[in-house]
Amino acid sequence: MNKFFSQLKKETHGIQLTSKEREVMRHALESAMRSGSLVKSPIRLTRSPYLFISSKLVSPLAFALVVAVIGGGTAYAAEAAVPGELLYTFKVQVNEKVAEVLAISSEAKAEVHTKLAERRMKEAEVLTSRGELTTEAKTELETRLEDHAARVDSEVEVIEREDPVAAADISSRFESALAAHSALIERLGEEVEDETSRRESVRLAAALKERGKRLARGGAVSITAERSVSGDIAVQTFVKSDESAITASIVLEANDDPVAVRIGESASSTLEEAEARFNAFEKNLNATTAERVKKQLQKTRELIKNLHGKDKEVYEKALKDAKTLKVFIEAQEKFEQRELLPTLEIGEEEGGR
Amino acid sequence: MRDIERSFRDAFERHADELFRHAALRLPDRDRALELTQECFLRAWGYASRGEEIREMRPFLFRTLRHLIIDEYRKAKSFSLDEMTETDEGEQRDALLSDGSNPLEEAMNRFDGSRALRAIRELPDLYREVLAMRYVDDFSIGEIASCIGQSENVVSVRLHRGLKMLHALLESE
Repeated sequence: MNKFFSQLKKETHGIQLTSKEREVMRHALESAMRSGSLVKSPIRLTRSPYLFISSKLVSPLAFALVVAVIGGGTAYAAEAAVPGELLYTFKVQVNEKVAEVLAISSEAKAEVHTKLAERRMKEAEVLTSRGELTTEAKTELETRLEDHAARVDSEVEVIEREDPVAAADISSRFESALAAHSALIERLGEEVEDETSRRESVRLAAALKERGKRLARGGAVSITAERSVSGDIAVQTFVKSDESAITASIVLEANDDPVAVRIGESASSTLEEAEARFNAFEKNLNATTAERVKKQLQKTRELIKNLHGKDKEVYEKALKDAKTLKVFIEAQEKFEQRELLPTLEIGEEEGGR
Repeated sequence: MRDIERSFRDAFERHADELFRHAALRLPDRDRALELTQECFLRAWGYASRGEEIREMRPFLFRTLRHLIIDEYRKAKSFSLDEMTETDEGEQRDALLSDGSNPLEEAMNRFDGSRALRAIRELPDLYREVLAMRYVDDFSIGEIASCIGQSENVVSVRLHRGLKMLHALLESE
């Protein structure tokens, strides 16, 4: 091939998005997809900000605040801030407030707080990786995390009354996020020299794991199925709460537990995200690691394919594995120096753990 | 809706870097290139979520990016006169030799490609566009033609002129 052009091409391949830039862009795209409509700032500031706000969805006061305060560069830079940095307050009290305000339905609110909780966990990961997870930082993060988790809980309670399937989906996704990040924080903490950081990261990982268990709503939803005259199966889901049993009826054509199916769908889309991220930076990994991760992805893919007719526990494991892969793959991209892959949480052999 | 979301995420992971690279080659400002890349994906999402069909994602994204870059140049007239005027000097593109080789491309081999990036940035955007699409983004002449809405002949001529200019620039260094 033409030497000149291949040299040129090689040179240009140095031009790419930094992982922070990618993260922010991905975030903006996800926000647009979640909000269901393109929300775009009608006012172009000196640098067009990565945050897009629609004046219809935000109260006039909030909008005025946002316009006054958000300079494009600041909002963008703040996204990467962690506790202890100047812009962290901006990130939490401006950028995230906007996202919270934009969420109207209970489902949207639950989503936002799940995301915000994940952001706290990611910040903990960054700090751990730097050896800077002080006791104060950990306490701050844990407190905020607990706030978000509590919000998720209360929104889920509201959602449960109308749509127990959606409620169970949100809960299990949050639970798998807690489990996955807990594993990652533990992993990152292992290599850290600073004793305080190591200790705090272990504590935080344990706390997250506990919180995840408390979320599990396995016992709360029970399902009865009755075949009617027409041959359709009427499925009734009962949510047991202290006050009363609330039911919702869904007619299904199959025997599948609707909750399990929904969890399976989440597992599948999470795995696809993991696969997409992996494909994007596979070339930066050494061949052996890449092969092993591929096997893990494949194994999880197989697990998801064969979920039909299995118990809810199996569905939940599939979701947890998919989420763990995603979290670890994303982290490997971010923390290039560390060796995080393949994650030990997922076995590689067939019939393995 | 989930399928669309999925294919979008996938498209982002696959193409974000190369789109950004293309924008960064065409624009003098990295930040602007970032913004346009993001805007490109958001527009594509808007299009798809309205139910419009996107048959091939990669060319679609490049076309969208291209429109954004054109708008950018239109707005900022302070950029040099890279405007889309092109005189037809009655020039025939270099006929490919019968063995399929292109002597002008071969002639570039004299130079160090890794230093050529700077020179490329000095070319008029009209040529930068096709050179980037051909030699960095790996589009075929036909694909470039359909992306920029010109005939393959026009694309060939532009490539030819772009290479000539690049050659001259590198030689004078």
